[in-house]
Amino acid sequence: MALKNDNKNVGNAREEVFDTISTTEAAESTKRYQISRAAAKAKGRITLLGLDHVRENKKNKGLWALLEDRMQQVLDPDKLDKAKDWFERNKDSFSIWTSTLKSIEGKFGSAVMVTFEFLRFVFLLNVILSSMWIVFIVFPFFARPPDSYSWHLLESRQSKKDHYLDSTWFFYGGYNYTSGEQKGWYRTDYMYTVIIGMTLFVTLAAVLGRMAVRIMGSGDYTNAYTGAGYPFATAILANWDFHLTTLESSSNLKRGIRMRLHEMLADCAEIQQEIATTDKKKLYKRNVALFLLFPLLMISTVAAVIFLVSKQATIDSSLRFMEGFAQPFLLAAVNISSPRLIRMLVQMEDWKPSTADQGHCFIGRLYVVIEQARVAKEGSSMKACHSGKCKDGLICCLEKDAYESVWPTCRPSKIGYCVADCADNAVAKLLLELIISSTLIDNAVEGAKGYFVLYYFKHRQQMAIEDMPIRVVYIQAVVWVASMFSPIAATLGAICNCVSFLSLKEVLMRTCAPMEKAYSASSTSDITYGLLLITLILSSIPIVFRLTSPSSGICGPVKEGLSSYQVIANYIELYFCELRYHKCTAQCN
Amino acid sequence: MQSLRRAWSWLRRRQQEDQGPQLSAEDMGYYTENSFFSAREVAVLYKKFHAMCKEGWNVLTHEDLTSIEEMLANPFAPRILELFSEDGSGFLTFEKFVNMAGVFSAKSPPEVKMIWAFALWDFDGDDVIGDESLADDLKQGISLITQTDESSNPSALATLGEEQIDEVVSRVLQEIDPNNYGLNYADFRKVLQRMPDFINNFHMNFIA
Repeated sequence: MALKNDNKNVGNAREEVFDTISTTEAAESTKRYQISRAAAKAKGRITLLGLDHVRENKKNKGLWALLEDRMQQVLDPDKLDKAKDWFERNKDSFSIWTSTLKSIEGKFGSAVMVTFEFLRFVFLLNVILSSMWIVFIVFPFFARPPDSYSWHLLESRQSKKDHYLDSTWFFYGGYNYTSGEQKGWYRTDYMYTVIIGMTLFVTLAAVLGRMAVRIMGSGDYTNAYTGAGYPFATAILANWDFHLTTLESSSNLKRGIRMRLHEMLADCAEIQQEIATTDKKKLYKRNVALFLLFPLLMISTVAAVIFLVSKQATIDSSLRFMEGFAQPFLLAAVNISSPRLIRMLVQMEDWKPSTADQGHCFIGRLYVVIEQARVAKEGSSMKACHSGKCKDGLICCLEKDAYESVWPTCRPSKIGYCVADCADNAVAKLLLELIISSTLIDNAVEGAKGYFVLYYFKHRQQMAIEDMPIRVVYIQAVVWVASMFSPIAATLGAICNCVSFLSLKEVLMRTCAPMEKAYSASSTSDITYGLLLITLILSSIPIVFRLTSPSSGICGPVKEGLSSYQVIANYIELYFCELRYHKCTAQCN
Repeated sequence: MQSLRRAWSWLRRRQQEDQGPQLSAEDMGYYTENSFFSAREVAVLYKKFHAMCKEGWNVLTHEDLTSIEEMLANPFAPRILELFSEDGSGFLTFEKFVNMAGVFSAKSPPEVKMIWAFALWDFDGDDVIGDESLADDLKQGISLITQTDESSNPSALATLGEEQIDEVVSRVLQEIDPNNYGLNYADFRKVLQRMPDFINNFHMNFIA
């Protein structure tokens, strides 16, 4: 009986095991069936929508297709196909820092990668602009320099002191061609203006092209983004960044999403952080920060910028040990310290700002470049010296200087007046120094902050990626405006972008932790390119102003009293006159 | 001269051996025509595929795939691999591997990404993300993207509690499926269209 019961129990157990196995197998089989159905439906949907015709979708459309068609008619189709294959095989070699960007993407997420990719875009843009300036302006200078230039100039540095580069190809003032000096169709006076126009045009095309690719890639819904309408669904469905490849970054993002969900749930439950009216200390701190210190900081930053810009000569004479670099250094210091002071105030009054705290500094920086353009113009008007003193940026022409000045500004006819020493060159030097000092100081501060936090507090900081694009766009605005005064501005911009990329990458990899906050990569990208576009439009204002203002004739290729715009207009008129003349001659013959 | 020729052909042979297994011209043409990748990219994928396969195998298993860099930190990796194996086995042939890499590449159109994302969430394969399974699937999804092993930091905010997860699930359902009809592809697409970050984030780079 016992044996029978045992057998029955074993039998039951066996049945249970078999049932379990068959249930598991059935579940597994059902799951596989469901997955295969889902995959089949996905592939069917792709076929139905014609998205599987990859080869046709890969073909160019629109204008590019037309161009390709024309090229095939003109060129040998086999050679064209070979060229296309070669380009396809090697196009990745043309793009630099790809592996670095991938590494950043894997460790820090797509928002950080997009910011560095923007810096790379600006670098490549500056490389293209630099090539244009070198090919069309600098090379012709070397081929046929003006008579005012001497190849022994650099050797006689001691005699020229500060002005030894003024007559070289570095600055606008060095292109001191007089009329009749240049033979042939090429003239620096109109070509300089053309290249300035090309600089703006190429930049506009590049930025618009990049924005168009983004919009076409993500569709019209880029403009219809209403994340506010689906806050929870967005947080769950769209926030996971598939780029991440390291466990640390994945863990950080999970923490960030958790925190965000906690906050959102708290908001929904209407739990607010209220500062208790009984906690008077906190209340006083908040009010002092918001109503006293914050306006004070704004006013003092603006006043500091205006002072530094308008009193350059005074500053240079006071800080002789930093001769030439004092003003740009101090400007960069103000621009770096002010946002950081704002962050400290914000922490005092428990306020969560957006990147608007950088906005006023950015406007201040634009004011700097516009002011420099105004100073350059002011150099052309003459005012009498009173007790031998002139406004900052001008010198009083004394009799002893009238016959020995580098530039023919202090002539016998101008004794007793305030005149400028080739103001274009002075502005160029200031702007180029601003580019260099801003780049070096920004990167040095980021590095110092990162290493200090790492070694002193023993933890890794989070890189403020919202600040990076603004600094990049600021440098680029100075590059565009400086191009009016120096052909090497774009080259210097490219070098500074390269230095920034490499140093910020090092700081990021060595001292920063992956982002906890779930940044929106698409919004980051929209904002950065949009900001670049707006800055380009704003920077074109001083450029257009300068091109339409009459030249002082002190230095540079454009004659006194003529504007760059008039030079172009004159050449166009001359060209058509010659064309008409040749036509008439041919007809008469 | 002959010795130079011999040395050159030896160098070429060594170069080809170092390059590893290569696709035939016919196969290369097939993959370049039917995927988003160029010939060079297909070659890179092929090399990577064979580097991950066990010796003598022509398929990637689940274990092989979950060890690659792009999948290591991805909590959705098991589901992705099952889906792209197309039969739920988690085994990928090279063709399926290229398909998966293509869907997640930057070259893939947003529509293709949304179609496969819908399939990712359609656990029962009935072409509708149903209300019952949606709640369960959302819970699973929320756990995947929020829960970590932070035993060293057991603060209150280290995890989401059961109640909080239920609260989040109900709010998501209110937003995307207020009538509890379930989501077909068109509804799901409308929801994702309002999340451009989805397109940016639904991206893995298998080409080094």
